[in-house]
Amino acid sequence: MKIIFLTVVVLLGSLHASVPADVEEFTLSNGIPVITRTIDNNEIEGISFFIIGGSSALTEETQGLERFSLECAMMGSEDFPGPQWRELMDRTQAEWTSSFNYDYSRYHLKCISEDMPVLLSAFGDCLLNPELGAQAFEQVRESTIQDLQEKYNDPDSWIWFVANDAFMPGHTYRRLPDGTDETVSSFTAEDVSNMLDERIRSGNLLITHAGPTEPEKLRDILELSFGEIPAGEQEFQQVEAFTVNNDTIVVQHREVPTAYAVVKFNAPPQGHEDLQPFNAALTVVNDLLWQVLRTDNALTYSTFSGATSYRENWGYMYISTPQPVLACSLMAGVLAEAIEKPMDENVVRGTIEKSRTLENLRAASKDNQCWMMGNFEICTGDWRNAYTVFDNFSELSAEDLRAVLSRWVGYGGWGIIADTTVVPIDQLHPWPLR
Amino acid sequence: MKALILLFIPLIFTASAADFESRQLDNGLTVIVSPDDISPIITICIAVKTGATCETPHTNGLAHFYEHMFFKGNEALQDQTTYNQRMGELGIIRNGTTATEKVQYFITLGSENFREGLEFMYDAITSPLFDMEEMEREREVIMNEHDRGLTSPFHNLTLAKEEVIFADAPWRQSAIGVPEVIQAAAPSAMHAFQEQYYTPDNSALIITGDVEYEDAFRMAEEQFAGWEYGGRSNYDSLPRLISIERDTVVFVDSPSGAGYVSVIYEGPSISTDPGDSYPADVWGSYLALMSREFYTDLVTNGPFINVYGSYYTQRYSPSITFGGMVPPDRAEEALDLLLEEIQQLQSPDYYDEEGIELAKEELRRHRILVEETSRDVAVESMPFWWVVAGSLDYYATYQDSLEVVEPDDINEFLETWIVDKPHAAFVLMPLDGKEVR
Repeated sequence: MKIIFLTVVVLLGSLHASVPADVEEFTLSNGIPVITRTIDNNEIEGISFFIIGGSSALTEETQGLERFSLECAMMGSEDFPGPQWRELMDRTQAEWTSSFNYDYSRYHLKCISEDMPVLLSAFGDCLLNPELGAQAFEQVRESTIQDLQEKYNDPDSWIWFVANDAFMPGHTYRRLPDGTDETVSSFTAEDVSNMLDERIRSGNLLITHAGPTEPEKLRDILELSFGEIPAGEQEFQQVEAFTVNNDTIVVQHREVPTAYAVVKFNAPPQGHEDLQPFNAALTVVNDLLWQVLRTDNALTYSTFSGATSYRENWGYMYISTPQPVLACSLMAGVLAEAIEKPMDENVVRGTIEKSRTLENLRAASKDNQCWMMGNFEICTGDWRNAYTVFDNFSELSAEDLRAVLSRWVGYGGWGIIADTTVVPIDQLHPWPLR
Repeated sequence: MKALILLFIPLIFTASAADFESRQLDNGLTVIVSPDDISPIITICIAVKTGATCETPHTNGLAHFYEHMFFKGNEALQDQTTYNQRMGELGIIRNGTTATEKVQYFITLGSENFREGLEFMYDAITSPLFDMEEMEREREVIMNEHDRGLTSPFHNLTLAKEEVIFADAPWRQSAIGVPEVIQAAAPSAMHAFQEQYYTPDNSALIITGDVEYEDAFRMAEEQFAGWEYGGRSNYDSLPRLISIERDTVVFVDSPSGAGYVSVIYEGPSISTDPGDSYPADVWGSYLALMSREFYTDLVTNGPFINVYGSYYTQRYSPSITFGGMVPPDRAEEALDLLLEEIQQLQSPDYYDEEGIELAKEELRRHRILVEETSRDVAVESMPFWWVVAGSLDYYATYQDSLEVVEPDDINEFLETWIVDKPHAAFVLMPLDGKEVR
C-alpha cells in the first residue's frame, strides 16, 4: 500500500516494551495489508476494515457519497440478498459499527468467533457485488437524511461544525464525509456504483483484527472474503495545513436555554514529534477546565479539551453554559495561562496516572485495539505508535507541556450557538488564546 | 457490628453469565466479584437501590443531586483540591449514573491500587460532607445539565410520556428532577436521603477486573464491614407506577422537525411477575429479527427508519413499547401501520418456531457481546440486574430460563399483557398549529 499523502515520522527510534508482542502483520494475495493481535480471553472477535481517503476522496458535490455508497452496499449482495443478509444478522447478532471521518471510512465488526467467516464472506460480497436495489437505495437515503437532520437539530452535535466555519474555511476537511441534505438527495445508483468501483481497491484498504482467531486461520478467512478485491489505488494530495490568520468567531442564533461553544486551534500534524506532548498538555488543560469552569465557578455541566488524531490536527475546547461570555473568557484564560507558565506538577502527574488507567481500559476492548492499530498505521505509517504514545507521555514535565503549547497554539476559530436575544451578539467576540 | 463475612446464600456462577461469586457481609452489603486479568485494571462499582422512583414531588432530583455530590468532599478528603489530587495519585477514572430505578457510582484504577480504591469508595459512600458552598455551586451545574436536556429533539416526547402513562406520579420517572427541588436542596435533605437509602443492606459492591476472588472478598470485608446497617429503605415496597387505563393517542409538537412514533402497553413487573419476563424478552427479541414480518412490514416495506418492539425490565414502570424513527411527514401513516401490525402480532400464527429459537439464540449472543470487558460487567450489566431483579439469581439463571420458553408461553404473555389491553400512542411531529386526530 502506498500512502503518498503521509509525512511519516516514526515517533520513536526504538520500540518500547509497551508494544505488544502478540501482533502479526501479513498481506493478502491482492496486496491488502492486515495487522492482527491475538487476544484469547473470550470468544469475541473485533475486525476493522479501513478505506483510506476520507475527505480527500470527495468533492463539494460528492460529500457523503462514500458513506452513502457503503451503506447501500450493506443492504445485501448477490450471494446474500437482502432477506438472507438480514437473516444472517439475526442469527449472529453481529454488531456493525461504521464511521466516516476526514481521513478514512471504517467498518467494524464485533462478533463471536464461530460467526466471523460467514460474516466476512457476506461483507466481502456486499462490497464487490452489492444488490443496490431501488427500494433499499431509497431507504438508505431517507435514513441518512434523517440522521443528518438529527445532527443539525442537536446543538450539542452541530456546534463542532459551526466552529469549522471559523477555523477551516476552504480546507479539504470542510468536505463532510457524512454529506449534506443537498448532496445526499442528489446521488444516483450510477454514482454509487462508480464510487464503489473506484474505492474498493486493494491499495485503498487496510484490515486490523483483535481476537482469539490465530493469524494463519485469519489469513485463510480474509483471503476467501477479500482476496478478489481488485488491485489498484488512488493517490491523494497531501492534506494542507490549517492557516488561521486571526481570531475568528461564527455565531449561530437558536432559541436554546443554554449556549454551546467550541474553539479550535492549530495542532501538530500526525506523525510530528510534538503531537503526543501536545495531546498530553491538552489532557491536563482538560482537568483544569473542569476545575475552573465547573468546580470553582459552576458555569457548566460539561467542558473538555483535547486534540484530534487526523493527518492534520486541531486542538479544541468545548463548553455548554448559560453564560457564554464569561465562560469563554475563562476558558481562553485557562489555555493562555498554560502557555504562559508551567502547570502544577501535581496536576500533571495526576493526569498522567489517569491516562495510564484509560490506556489499560482501552486495551480490554477489541474495538479500541482495532481502531488504534489502524488509525496509527494510516496516519503515522506505523501501528506501533499506538502503543508508544504513553511511554512518551509519562516522561513529560510541566515545562515540556507549556513549551509545546507555546509552539503550536495560535489563533482560535470560535463557534457559538446561543440565543442572541438573551446573550447580546455584541458581547460575543473571539477570545484570544494567548 | 461483627466484621465477619457470612457465606449467606453464596452464589457461584459461570458459563452463560460472566463468571462471578457473590457473598453478603454481616451488615447486609452484597459483595460481587468477577475476575478478568486481560488488563491490569479493576473497576469498583457501588449500586444502590434508589433513584427517581423513590422520590416525592418535594424530593424529585435528590438522587441525581447526590450523584453530583458523591465525588466531592468527605470526612477523609475534605476539600476538592485534596480530593482531585488523590484521584490523580491513584489514577482514578470515575463516574456515576442516576436512573429511575437504580443509582450507581464507579471507579476504574490500576490493580496495584485496589485497596486504596476500596478505601476511596468507602469514604465517598459513608461520609459525604454535603458542604453548603459546594452544593450552591453544584446546583448551578445541575441546572445547566437540566437545560441541556431541554434542547433534545425528544424532550417534548419524554414529558408527554411522563404525564400520560405515569400520571399518578410523573416525578418518579424524571431522574434529573424539577428546578424547584434542585434550587432548594439543602444538606439536611441530602443527609436524610443518605440515611434512608445509602446503607449497606440497600447496596451492592461490585468488583471486576484483575483481582482474585479471595483477595477481593477479604479486602472488601476489611474495608466495608464498618458501614453501619440501615434497614430504613422502602425501595422494595413502593407502589407500581405505570398505569394505562384506556387507549390514548397523543400528538406531540416537534420544533426540531424530528419524527417518532411509539405505542406503549403496561408490562410485567420483575418483582411481581418475574415468570412473564422471560417470554417477554424472547418475544421482544423475535420482533427485533430483521428477517421477520415486524421489520419487513414496517421498515423494509413501510415508513419506519428503524423499529423495535420490546419489553423493558423494571419493577415499578415495566413497559412494552413499540416504536421507531419516521420521516415527520409520514408520522400519522406510520402510526396507523404500527397499530395494524400490533393487531396482527397478537395472533399465534404471527410467530414461527424457528424464529423463536433464533430469538433465544440472539439473546444468548447479545449477553456475550455486551459483556466484553470487565468494566462492562461492573457498570452495564450486574448493577442493573442486582438492583432491578433484587439479586443476581435472576441474572445467573436467565439463559436457562429463556431456553425453556415455548411458543405457548409467548401466547400467554400476549394474552396477559397485550390482547384487548389499553395502550398509549405518541406521535412526535411538527404540528405547526395543524389539526390532528
